Amino acid sequence: MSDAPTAHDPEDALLTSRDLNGERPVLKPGEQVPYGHVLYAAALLGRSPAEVVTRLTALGYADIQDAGCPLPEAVALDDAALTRREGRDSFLQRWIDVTSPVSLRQLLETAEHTGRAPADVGRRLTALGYRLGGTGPLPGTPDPRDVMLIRTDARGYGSWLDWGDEVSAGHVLGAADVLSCSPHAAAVRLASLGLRLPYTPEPGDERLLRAGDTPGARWFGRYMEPPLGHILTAARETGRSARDIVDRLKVLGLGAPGGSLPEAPEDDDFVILSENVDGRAPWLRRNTAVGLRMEHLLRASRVTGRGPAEITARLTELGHFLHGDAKLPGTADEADIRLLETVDRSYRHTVHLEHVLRSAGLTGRSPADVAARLTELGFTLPDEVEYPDVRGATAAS
Amino acid sequence: MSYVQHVEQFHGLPAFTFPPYANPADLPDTDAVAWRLHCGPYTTDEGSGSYWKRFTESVELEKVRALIFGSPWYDGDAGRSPDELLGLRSRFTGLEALFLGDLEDEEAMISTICLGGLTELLEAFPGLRELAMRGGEGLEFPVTGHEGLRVLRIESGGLPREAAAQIAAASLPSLEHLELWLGDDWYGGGTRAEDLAPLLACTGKPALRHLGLQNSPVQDELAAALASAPVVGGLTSLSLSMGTLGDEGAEALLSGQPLSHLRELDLSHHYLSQDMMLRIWTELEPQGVRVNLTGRQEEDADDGWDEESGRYIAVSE
Repeated sequence: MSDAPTAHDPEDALLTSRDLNGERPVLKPGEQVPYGHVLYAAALLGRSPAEVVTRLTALGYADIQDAGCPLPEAVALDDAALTRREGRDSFLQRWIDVTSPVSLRQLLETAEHTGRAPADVGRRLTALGYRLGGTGPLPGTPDPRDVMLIRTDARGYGSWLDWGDEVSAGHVLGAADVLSCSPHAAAVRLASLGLRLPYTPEPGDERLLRAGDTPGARWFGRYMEPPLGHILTAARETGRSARDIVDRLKVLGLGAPGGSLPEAPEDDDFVILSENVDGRAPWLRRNTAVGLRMEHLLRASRVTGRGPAEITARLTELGHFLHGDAKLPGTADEADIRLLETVDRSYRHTVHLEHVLRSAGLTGRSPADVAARLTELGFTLPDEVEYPDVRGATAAS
Repeated sequence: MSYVQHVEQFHGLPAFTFPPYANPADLPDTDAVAWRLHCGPYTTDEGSGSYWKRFTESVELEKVRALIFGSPWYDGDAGRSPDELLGLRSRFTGLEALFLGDLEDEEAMISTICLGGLTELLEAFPGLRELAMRGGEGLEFPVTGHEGLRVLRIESGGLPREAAAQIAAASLPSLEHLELWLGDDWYGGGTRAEDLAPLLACTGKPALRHLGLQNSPVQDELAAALASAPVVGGLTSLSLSMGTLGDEGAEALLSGQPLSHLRELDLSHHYLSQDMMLRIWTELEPQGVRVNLTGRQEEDADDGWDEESGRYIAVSE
């Protein structure tokens, strides 16, 4: 296979250049000229595709891709642009292949880089002689996220859902997470693209899937387990039962919170299930490794007026547990809460001199006092040290 | 806990990663977040050119207060300065804070993150108040400094010795907070106390209130230098954390100039004996100095890699 001869005519140079810019590299005479190349060249030069084919043939290009249908008499540049692939892997294939059905991915990529609606792209590609791989209706509004919505594997050259494919609930959550958008909106869009979901998206899903107001963490994602506080609040707000909420979240691909669902939640449940004991998100998450934090139990006790043991019993009913080493005080003391706020060790870990000194500094108590109280609360302090009785001068802040 | 994690808060704002193919309707208020720009590593991810263009067309650039750059601007394979930012300097009129190289170990090890020269960037943004960086290779800091910068923080496993010296000598009249992770010479570091002489002598940084000379394999040497350094007198907090501080360095600190004016002394991640920990605490805490002695490390006696000390800094490779 030899290189194409250098074209001296500027129009020929453009016609034979691989990137249709008059520059090298040029198409090789033995290689097939893609149909998209013909259409795009025609649009650029203001000639008919037939004229382009004739000229390419005269220049020695014998193999020009046949669309299997009559060539359009004329083609506009913005229509021809639909046949051109763009993106980081376009070096693999510059033009959409007219001899194969257009995949959903190709159509949506084209919609993205031309800023057009998928339905519009589908209509125009069909008019240019392309065959779509699917026949269902497509959205009439553009959304640049579409191609990412249908991506199933980012690695390598990637993989994508195609026309009419089934979509898992987990895929919806994962795609929404990548795009930082509502999983409900993602589900609705996927359905509008003709993909088959394992559920019918409902407007009420939006509330159930909303995890909070923090930018970037507004929605529950794949493999997440919505905390019980979220379930109970959603049930209270929507008038649905907690069981109904859990069942719907399961359908939407999320895990269940674990533990038993209270049939009739107590008002205090919302307080003791909230991280800040204020009855609002963020909600307490089950920690199956180290269990409840003593600090939380005491704070919940102070807010509700119920004893630490009663709070612990209720949280245990709701699926949490307190480590066996923990020694619950009879009453919740503010000084204990301030002390425990400074301890970043769980009951599964030992508390060393460094931790005692840090807590003493942050609370204004002496290391000896801190060590004694932590021991009373069930922590293990293995260091054989004589903890000083002197106090720091800095109050907690 | 890893010291090297994605930024969650920056310049007092929650970090928000600008999503690929973003829909402007889904974005938070421009001035409510620190915008993190980070593209996925695969060919199927949105390319950085399209991503940056979409960002600049979706967000009111004049209202952007803080930017965080990740991949591909600073990853190991394609590290480069954010030329796009420089090109649009006239539109980022409200930019106060920049974080360069926000990458985690899985994306790029800290020792492979290239930073390059900062002269043009600092000149382009006179309104900058906070500059943070992760990495170190190739870093060049202009001695001419910056008039308005208040916070300078460099997270490094091996900050080039020359760069540390440049920062020490730089004119930064508004700088209040300076944090340098100096790192290991094996990974491009090697800063010694003598390289920091202008800084220790309190030259060029009259507003400095917090100094962190951290993550150093010569932490004892730095502690000894600080024991008599004029810069300490003006500080309210000092950090010698993440390094190899032992009893020798602590002894030098305690027997040097008074530290009772400090509100905080962070010595976390150290190799101090229990006796020395108790001594530091009982000498300084009653004077009102809050001391952080967490993260005690044990020397690796059988270590054949660093036979000299058996001590490791917190972040290197």
